[in-house]
Amino acid sequence: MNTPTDLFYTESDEWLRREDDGLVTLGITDYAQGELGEIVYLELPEQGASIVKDGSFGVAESVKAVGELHSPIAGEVVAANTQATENPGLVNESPFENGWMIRLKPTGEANFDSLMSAEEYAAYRAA
Amino acid sequence: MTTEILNVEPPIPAHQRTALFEAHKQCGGKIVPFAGWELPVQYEGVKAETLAVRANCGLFDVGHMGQFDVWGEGATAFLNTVVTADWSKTRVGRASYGLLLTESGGVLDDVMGYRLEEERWLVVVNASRVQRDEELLCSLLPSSVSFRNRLDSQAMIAIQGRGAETILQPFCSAALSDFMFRDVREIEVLGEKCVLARGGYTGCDGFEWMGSAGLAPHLWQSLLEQGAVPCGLGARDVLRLEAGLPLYGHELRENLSPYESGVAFAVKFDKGEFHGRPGLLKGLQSPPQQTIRGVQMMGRAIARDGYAVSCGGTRIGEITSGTPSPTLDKNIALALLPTQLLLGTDIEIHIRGAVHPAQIVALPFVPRSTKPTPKIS
Repeated sequence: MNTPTDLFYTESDEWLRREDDGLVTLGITDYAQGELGEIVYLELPEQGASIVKDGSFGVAESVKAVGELHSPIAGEVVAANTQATENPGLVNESPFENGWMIRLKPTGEANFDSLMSAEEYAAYRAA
Repeated sequence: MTTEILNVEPPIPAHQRTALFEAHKQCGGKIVPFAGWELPVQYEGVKAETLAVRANCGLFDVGHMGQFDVWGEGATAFLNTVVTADWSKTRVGRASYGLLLTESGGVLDDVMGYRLEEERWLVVVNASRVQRDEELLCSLLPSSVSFRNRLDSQAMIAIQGRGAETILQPFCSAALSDFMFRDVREIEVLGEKCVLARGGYTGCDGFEWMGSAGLAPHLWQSLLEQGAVPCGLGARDVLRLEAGLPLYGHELRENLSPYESGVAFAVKFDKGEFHGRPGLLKGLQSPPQQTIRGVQMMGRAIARDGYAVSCGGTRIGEITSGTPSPTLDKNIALALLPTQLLLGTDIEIHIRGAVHPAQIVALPFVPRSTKPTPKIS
């Protein structure tokens, strides 16, 4: 299983990256895209939308499955990946890079302590 | 991400496995719980499997469906008092679609009857309805008629698509070109007696093999070697939706009449008494206000079961099934809507708080390509 080591992971198979500018990028893991199958529709929030902690920030749908996306941190949406909404297959091809979903400006100090490291996530999914 | 796979139930401890369970795992099938069974929702992908059936041939494990043998003096007359269709007119060697109704005329199940002899039938029913159907049939069973649920030995494979005849023929003791749509015969496949029928649930040409659990994996493997593509429940649902065919639990329900479900063609009032007829007639004293209609999304959002439908801002009904259509490259759905809505009417689908434009369209979405029915039924 592909799990980049510079990311944080949730039990619901999202990943988070702390960018140098203080923003946080979110997407879904390789495992998650595999579970969904070929993604045909991706719905992401508008720029400026506020996301509450553990709230939904969109859906990724394959022909026969609907995956609701959750953010473990609160924040304001600074950017949504419109390339991925135009071509949702990007999430299947490149879940950790080109298939990123949103960039958040965290509300206050984002707490990453409850999230898993790559090693922990790999073990969690292998269990 | 929390994933919901459509039409799939939450896991329960004791799921049954079909004769092909190991074959699915070997082919990389993604197994999900469905109607009390563990079945593959997909192998390579729903889209690819749907298109494989349209292009040539796909295989479906439908071993979860209930199979009932009904035989003995008066078997045909008995079944004809239970189903809504007129099975007294179904000749030996033909299959017929019919409904079982509740006392009040709601749809208990939709079933296929295969008339194998004058007084011997195989009745195939939905997996989720086996218990209810068996209870109804057995409660009305005359002493001269026998009933057997094949659960302990059953297997069923649907071979679907225009290439089905060529792929299946090498293993058959009879010429498949002699089978018209809805013909059924007991022949030998791989040297073992079985029931073989022309038809299916995809709107495409194809066959349904009903035989022994012991032979099923061998036949499955033999058909794969001939070039058939293994397909899961996902592709089966997409194909039936493209063909505008109803599914129990969605378009067909106990609280909907056959008129509301869009299957009134299977109700023959003129044949005389049948179970649920008085209740159905009572309900028809006022004409049905709603029925199943075809819906096409105008944008990229996908309509799913349960989403609200409005017209000019007024709520008028809800989606019963919806999917992207790989064949049409459009998003399609069936919905329970007012009967008087004209084709082309603009409607709105409510998805996660947003309103998405859609239109009423004709059914089926994809023309059916089954083999022609002979003149005499």
